[in-house]
Amino acid sequence: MEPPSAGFDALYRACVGDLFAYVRTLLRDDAAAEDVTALAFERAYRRRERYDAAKGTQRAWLFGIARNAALDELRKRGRTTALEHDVPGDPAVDDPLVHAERSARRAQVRVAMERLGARDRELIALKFFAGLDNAELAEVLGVSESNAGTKLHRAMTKLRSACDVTA
Amino acid sequence: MSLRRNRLDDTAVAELDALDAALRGEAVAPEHADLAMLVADVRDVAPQATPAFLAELDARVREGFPPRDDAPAAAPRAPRPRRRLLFGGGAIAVSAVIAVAVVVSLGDDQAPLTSETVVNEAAAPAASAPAPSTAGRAGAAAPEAAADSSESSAAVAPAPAPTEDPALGRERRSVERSATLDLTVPADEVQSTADAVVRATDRVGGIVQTSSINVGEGTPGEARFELRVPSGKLDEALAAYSKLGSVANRTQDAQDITSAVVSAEDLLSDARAERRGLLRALGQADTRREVESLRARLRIVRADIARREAALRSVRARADLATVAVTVRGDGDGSGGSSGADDEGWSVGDAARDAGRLLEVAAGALIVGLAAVLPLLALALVAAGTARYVVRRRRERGLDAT
Repeated sequence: MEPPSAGFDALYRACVGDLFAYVRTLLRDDAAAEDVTALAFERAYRRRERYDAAKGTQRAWLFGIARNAALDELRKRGRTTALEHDVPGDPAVDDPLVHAERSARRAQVRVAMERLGARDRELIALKFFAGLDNAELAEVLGVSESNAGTKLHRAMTKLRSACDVTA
Repeated sequence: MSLRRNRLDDTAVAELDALDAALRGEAVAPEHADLAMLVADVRDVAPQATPAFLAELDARVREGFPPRDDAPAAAPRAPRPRRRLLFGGGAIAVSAVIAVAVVVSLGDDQAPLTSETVVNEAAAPAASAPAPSTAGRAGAAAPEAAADSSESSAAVAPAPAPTEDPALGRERRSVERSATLDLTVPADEVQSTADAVVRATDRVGGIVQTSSINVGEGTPGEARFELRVPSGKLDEALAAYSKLGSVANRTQDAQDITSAVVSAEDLLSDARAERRGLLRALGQADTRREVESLRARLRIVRADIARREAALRSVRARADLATVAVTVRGDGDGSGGSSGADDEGWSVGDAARDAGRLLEVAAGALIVGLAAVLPLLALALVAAGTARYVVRRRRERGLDAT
């Protein structure tokens, strides 16, 4: 694996969108999510020499840094803000009926995620937004891989139930 | 995956596998179509960073995150000890503990690092157990004997010398002298040293009364001698013997046998006087029976005189010839020539022994140091793990509050 000092830019390009989505899901605040995302990349850049490939992937290492920064931000603020980001439109869909159906489903998912607990919401973000595999998930959360799988399945089941309820 | 299967049922495992497939953009089984749709829907609501933010962050990444002008001046932060520094400090602490242990150990055990000559204190009895009639003289000689025992290479200490005892009214006292001498030589020099002992004895006019030499492969070798040397040349003989090897032990004893000599002389004198009286009586005898009786008595007295002369010679020989017991032992390692050099300097053999001893002490100190450090290290690891857990829990407390 390429060391982070040499491939930091590639790591940044590959992860910046997913990382922002994950942090934003945790913080539910655009400005804070931007600050924490930038802070996470800066910390990763400054600590890139300390990355140990034997302990996991660069992606998991980066998301671990972001998680700590986001949790520190949450703890510092001691409060939460409502999920208020604007979901981008779907420019590829021109059919008004299809567009309306998908908008409705997105609305259901947004509400369903709002109903999830923070830990479940974090798991969904790490899995669905960041695309981490279960080993990376375990590394970020500091649990075993089997435990991460169990937690993820539980969170996914809750999300599906919440979506059914809101349907 | 195997661990996951241990906790999740097959349905759950299949769903997670389908989830991974859907996230990778792969097709999923029809029964998991809703899961694929859920993935698409959730990804549709993924928060998006604004282009302005991305542009700004891109620039900062390209520039290597320079300090921002609008960033609040951060208070100077005390440098956090890095793990390497902690390990380095730990290593230094362990080294210090070991070094202190080594120093303490060496301080308590200096002797093995220096060449030493084992000197048997048995020389003292020569002075502390003097001959009965020379107690005063022997008592005065005690310090000399003690000094001799502390210096193996010292000159021969004067043995208790016979002295005049006015109470006895004799011009010369008879003293029986004896000595023991233990020599250590390299194992391969026992035989040659034994030969040298014999030659030295011959030079002073002494005799080898008994000898026993045991030299062979795999044994350090030993030679024992029971020697008789003229008492007047005992000191000369001992000096010659002492030069043949390293003196491990040396004792001298003197016993006044003047009484025994005088007694033997008196008995002999009495017998001779009786013979003279018998001879005079024989010259004056008148009858045959009287003559026969005196001659029988003379035969008895002559035999008695012969016995008493032998006894007198024997007791005088005890004073004339000193008994010397010499033992020559080969040293255990058979390193030739090193023993004789022990008293003269620090040899390569000494250095090797000292180095071995130093390593032995260092290894012992290391073990002791580890015994002391390992529990502390275990406690530190437990504390570090606990601290990490506490920090994680504290961070996640903010997550639970949302």
